[in-house]
Amino acid sequence: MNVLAIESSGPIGSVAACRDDELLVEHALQVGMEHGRMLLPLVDQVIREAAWDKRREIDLICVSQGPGSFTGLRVGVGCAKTLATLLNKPLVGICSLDAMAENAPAEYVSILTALDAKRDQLYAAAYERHGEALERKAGPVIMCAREARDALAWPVYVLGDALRQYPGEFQPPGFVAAPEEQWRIRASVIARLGLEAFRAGRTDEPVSFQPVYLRLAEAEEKRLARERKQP
Amino acid sequence: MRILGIETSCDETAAAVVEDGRRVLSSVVATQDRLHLPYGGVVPEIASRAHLAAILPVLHRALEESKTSLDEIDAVAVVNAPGLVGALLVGLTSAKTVSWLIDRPLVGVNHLHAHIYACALERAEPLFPCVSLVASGGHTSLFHSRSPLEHELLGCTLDDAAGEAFDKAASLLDLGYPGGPAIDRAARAGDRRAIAFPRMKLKAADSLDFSFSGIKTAVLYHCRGPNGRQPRLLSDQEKANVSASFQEAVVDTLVDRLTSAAERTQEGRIAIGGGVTANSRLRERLTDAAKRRGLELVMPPMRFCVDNGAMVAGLAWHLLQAGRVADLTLDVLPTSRAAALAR
Repeated sequence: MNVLAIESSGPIGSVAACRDDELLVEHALQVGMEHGRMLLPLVDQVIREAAWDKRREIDLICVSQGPGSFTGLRVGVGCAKTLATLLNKPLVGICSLDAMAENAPAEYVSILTALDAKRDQLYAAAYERHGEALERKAGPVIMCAREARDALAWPVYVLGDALRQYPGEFQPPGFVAAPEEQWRIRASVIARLGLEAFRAGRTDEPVSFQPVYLRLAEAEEKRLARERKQP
Repeated sequence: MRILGIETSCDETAAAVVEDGRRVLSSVVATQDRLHLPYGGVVPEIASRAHLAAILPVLHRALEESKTSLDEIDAVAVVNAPGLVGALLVGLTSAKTVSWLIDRPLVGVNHLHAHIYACALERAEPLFPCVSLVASGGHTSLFHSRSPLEHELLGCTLDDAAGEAFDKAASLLDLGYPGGPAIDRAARAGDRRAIAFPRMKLKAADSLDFSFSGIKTAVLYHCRGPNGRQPRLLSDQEKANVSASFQEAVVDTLVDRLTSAAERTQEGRIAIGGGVTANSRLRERLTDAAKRRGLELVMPPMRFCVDNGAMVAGLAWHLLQAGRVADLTLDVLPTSRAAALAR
């Protein structure tokens, strides 16, 4: 089964082509946050290098569904759902935090992924390792850094750019901070998790498929807050 | 030759199939008015999300209604400037994906030029050369349009767009959103000489630019007192009078600029496009002014005044003939940068 996977939730996007569990090609966007311009050329390059007939040889499309950059997500999800619909092939969305958690070294059992969500909040998910597999125990949710810290049983391995934004909240001995290269979400991991989910019987309906934003538009949040104050 | 046109620059998700630049085989528009209603204006993030939710059903319907299969599409056209970045990106991404998948050329189309071209859809007589006005919620621009591809900017708004002024006035009068149709309706029962709202004055007497912030403020003061914070209770008749007087002031300005531009360029034909040009009083006054001055006035059918994919697919045919094809690295250009480049 040929799997095309797209990640565009983070600052460095990537596209991967896999044949079953074997990674054939993976490329990252060299320039950060240029997904709108550069994602399709990258998809084209990956498909060419995999030597697939794009109309006939893509069997499954996997995409990072968020949370993450709203605009970045819309580019990846927009491309993936258009492809899946036109090709009439299955689509699987993968939680971007799940893919990031896979970067944690095998010796850590408790893992927290945390992305800076701006406005004093973060997107977080907590995992526990069972043998080879990670089980998501909580999230993805939007919360403040202190809540995330207090909710966890120590010690925890933390990944994500929230470490840069809130270094004080995730200090040893309770927390081990992952190095920055492990914060990067990879399309090849999206492909692997997507194929696993597909084998387990999961697919997403492409036409109605949406990113997991975890947050309303700012104007909407403010309006709802106003309405709560003055019913 | 059949071209698929996609437009998501603001708050309408639109797609259409047009044959040979003129024959509209389908034109599907999903409007988001209801979503932006509580805010009295377009919220970019809400618009972008709604585009992503609507784009595939809209594409599907445009193909189905035109009885066109994917492989019968000869090119894919998309508005990539100017507009809201996040909104433009949704249409651009889908257009690129379709173009790549079916190996057909991708054409990037300017939103404003497409609005002018809307006048040429399903029209047998020539449209170009002409002087053209695009007035909508996001733009107010005046062009000397020599051909489908050559548009010289003669003037544009220095602050708010005409449509924004309509939205603001309607919001102050509690008439709802979008403001254009609401003011147009209310104004029918009003006296357009009831209130002498100021006409725009610009420093350079010969300028063809626009400014609508002054009249917006005048409506605010009229409805809420000189500090803008003392809401007055207005009767329906007063609201109708404010609507009619406000509308007349905006229309005066638009008519004045368009006819001055025709005079200056010595063109005998004027064309209009954009949501504001659906305004009934503007159409009436322009028809009248054109008749008096011996100008030919071209107005798009109502359904092509608002953002639509047909104007995009139509104009793209000319771009394609001229070899103006984009590659997969095509990018979006937001309103501010596009405006700066046009200057």
